[in-house]
Amino acid sequence: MKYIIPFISCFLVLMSCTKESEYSVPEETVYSPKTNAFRATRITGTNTHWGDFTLYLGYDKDQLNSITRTNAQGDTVGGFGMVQSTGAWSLFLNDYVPTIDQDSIVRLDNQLKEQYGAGNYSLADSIPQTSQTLQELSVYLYTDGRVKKSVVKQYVPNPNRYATGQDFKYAYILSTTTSSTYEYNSNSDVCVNRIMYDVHDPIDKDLYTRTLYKTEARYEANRIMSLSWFRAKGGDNFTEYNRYDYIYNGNHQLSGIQGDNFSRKFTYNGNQVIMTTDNTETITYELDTHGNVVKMNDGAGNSWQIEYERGNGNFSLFTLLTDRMLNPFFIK
Amino acid sequence: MKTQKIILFVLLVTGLLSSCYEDKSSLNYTLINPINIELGNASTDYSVFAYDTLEIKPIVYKEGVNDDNLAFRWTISGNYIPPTLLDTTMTLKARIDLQPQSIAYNLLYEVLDRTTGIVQEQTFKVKVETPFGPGLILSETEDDQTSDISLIRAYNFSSGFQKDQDTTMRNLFSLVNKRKICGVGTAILSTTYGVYGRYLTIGTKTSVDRIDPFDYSYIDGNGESFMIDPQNYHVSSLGFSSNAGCIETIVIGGKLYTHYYQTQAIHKFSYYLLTSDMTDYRVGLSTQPEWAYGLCFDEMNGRFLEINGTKYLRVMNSSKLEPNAAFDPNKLQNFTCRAMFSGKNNISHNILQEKDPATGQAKPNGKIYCYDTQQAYYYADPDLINGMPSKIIDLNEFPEIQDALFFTGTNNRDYIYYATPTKVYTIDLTMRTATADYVVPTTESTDEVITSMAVWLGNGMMNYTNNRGDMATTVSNNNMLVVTTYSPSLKEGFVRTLPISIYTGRIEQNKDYYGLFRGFGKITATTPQK
Repeated sequence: MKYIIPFISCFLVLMSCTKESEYSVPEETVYSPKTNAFRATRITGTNTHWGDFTLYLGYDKDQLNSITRTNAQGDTVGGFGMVQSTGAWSLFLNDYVPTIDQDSIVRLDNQLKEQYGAGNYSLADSIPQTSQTLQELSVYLYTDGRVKKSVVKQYVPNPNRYATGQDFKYAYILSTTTSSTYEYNSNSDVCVNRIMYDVHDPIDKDLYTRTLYKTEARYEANRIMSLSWFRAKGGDNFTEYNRYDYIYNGNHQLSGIQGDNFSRKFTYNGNQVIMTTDNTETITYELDTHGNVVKMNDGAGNSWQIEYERGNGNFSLFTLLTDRMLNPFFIK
Repeated sequence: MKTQKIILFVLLVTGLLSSCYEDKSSLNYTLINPINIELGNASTDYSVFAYDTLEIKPIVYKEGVNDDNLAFRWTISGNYIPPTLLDTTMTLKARIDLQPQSIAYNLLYEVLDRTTGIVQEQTFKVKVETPFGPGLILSETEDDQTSDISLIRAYNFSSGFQKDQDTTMRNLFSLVNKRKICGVGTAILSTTYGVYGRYLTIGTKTSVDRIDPFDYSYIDGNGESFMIDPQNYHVSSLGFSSNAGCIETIVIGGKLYTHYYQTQAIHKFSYYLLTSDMTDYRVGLSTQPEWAYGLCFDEMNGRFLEINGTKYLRVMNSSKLEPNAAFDPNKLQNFTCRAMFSGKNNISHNILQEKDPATGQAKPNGKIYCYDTQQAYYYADPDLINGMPSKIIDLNEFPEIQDALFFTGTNNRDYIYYATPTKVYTIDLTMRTATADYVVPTTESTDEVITSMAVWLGNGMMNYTNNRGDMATTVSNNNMLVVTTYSPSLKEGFVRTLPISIYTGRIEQNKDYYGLFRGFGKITATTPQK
């Protein structure tokens, strides 16, 4: 009996000091998604598809939530669609196209003229239209907001949109799907980009030819120094086939990108930058004091003027990452 | 008591030593990134033609791990085949040498991360379809000793084909069966495609091979194709009628064997048919009309014999002949048969030429005639008209008839076509004229010669000039000649399709409507696959 109390005391000492394992959160890299200081709000210009146009961009927090396109007459001729879910969202850049052929439009015009008199009606407002997607962007995100994957589907207008009768077709045709999956380094720069590039059959979009690419970017500080290109053919792994070296001038500006069968030069003159690709294609950019592109002209019928406001936006995601890596003068 | 104290003391010491124990079992672990297998929007179900190439292009990666540390395996299994490794790269590109089956094969894709030993799997279903369908089958030889089989699926030969979809598949026999045919093809024939009991039979002077036209897999050959081995496999003729009794015939060593192909029980040729009068015979050529019992020519006795189903070779009854019958079908001992084919109005055209009695071969410059016989429906011929004489047409006045190698005709025109080594003539039987309607071109080589000629009896379409001078389209069945040629200098065989005008019966003169397929060896026999 007299030993029971010491025994119980020792037992309590045993239990009280035993320490259970603590839950230890594994170490993970903390990323800081890159943000822009400015975002585009209006783009005015002309291109070979839209002719004269103005794009109005609206944002909710850092994300696009509206795009409206008007023509030279101020009519709304294009719009925007959005689907959002947890960790992913899709944006649709749409054209409004007529659902009747030219002959029917002429008949409608005559009918309205007869009914209301010339000049007393708007033919453009009377033509039935539908929305056709020109470009679809789907983005999948990490919880910290970095882009994990982006899928860009590019559509083209139907070649039979000017036909008449039974040959008339207005539905846009899926042309290409580019799916990019990103890997980041510790500086939150994309260091690996794996790309599935599908070219679709114009008649059956489920038939496509797929090409696989990978790029690996090497950085020094925050500057990209080289971009290695890999390709995987059928029955093969990724094999390097090209490497672009980035050249900077004394002002730390990108002055050239050089690879096999590819060369791009950037020439700076005040706030103007001329980008020459393969000594044939030339695009002229004009920058504001913050380095944003405010004018662009490619000399081939495409020219834009861009207005900005302070803040981060995601309009630049419509430009493929590889294109942004090869040309820092894109619209943010 | 002392013992109790000792025990208690030991317990106290143990407790003291093990107290304040810190459990470190859950500290310092790292998350392992998953192996990602990205398919894009691609399905996991694939359909591929047998012997075609399957390509699957996923992107596979593991964040933080160099791609070189990943290993890949593509393994196919299912349908009772042992698991077979197809490829060991990230993307798959492999020819699928598997039998077409109604159930899909299983394709297992395994990705091994060498840094951890973890394997990620992705499964696919692969349905293997037969790539072979209706078209023109031909037997060709590159060395005059062995042969192979090729298939042309094209606008002229297959339903639903546009001209830009024309497809040629060569060397299918050896591709599937890993060997050539032993001998030069003398006859080739396919029964109806897609029906049970289907056979593609290839005969040479020394062998018989039978394959499944569905997938070109070997069924049997030589003695195995017969209930009683004939020992000799010199095939001189093959015949088939899908309507008149569903009988396939083969002539070997002068004897005619039959195979009732619609039964599921027996798929071998039976013992050779005997004649109704139990006399011996030696058959050279035979013909199988669409709705009448077949006819063959007995070279030994100079007579026509009716192929009476699978029962016997019926001898014509000369006593039943009309007094003014054109000829006696049992008294043709001076002739050898050059060709037998159907003509218009239920007539069989049989081209006979005077023969050298010593050799049994056609006599040089021997007279050539067309002995027409009647056809009667196999199921309604109470007066046994089938094979009875109709008329004799003298062909000797027609140009270059002595140089004719091949004869043929359609069952809807009164025309006969004959081919010399370099020309095809059209005989208008009504007007008794013959015109050289086709000449083998000499622009590429001057030694190209005709190696076979047949009327097309399969599927497909053709173009011709209508009576307004415009291009018209109609079915090629019974409206087109298939002529094969060979140029020794080019070492190349050709297949040329010649439309026959539905208005004139003559070969179409607009060469734009001809078909041309090239790149073959010497083509020695053809058959439609329907």
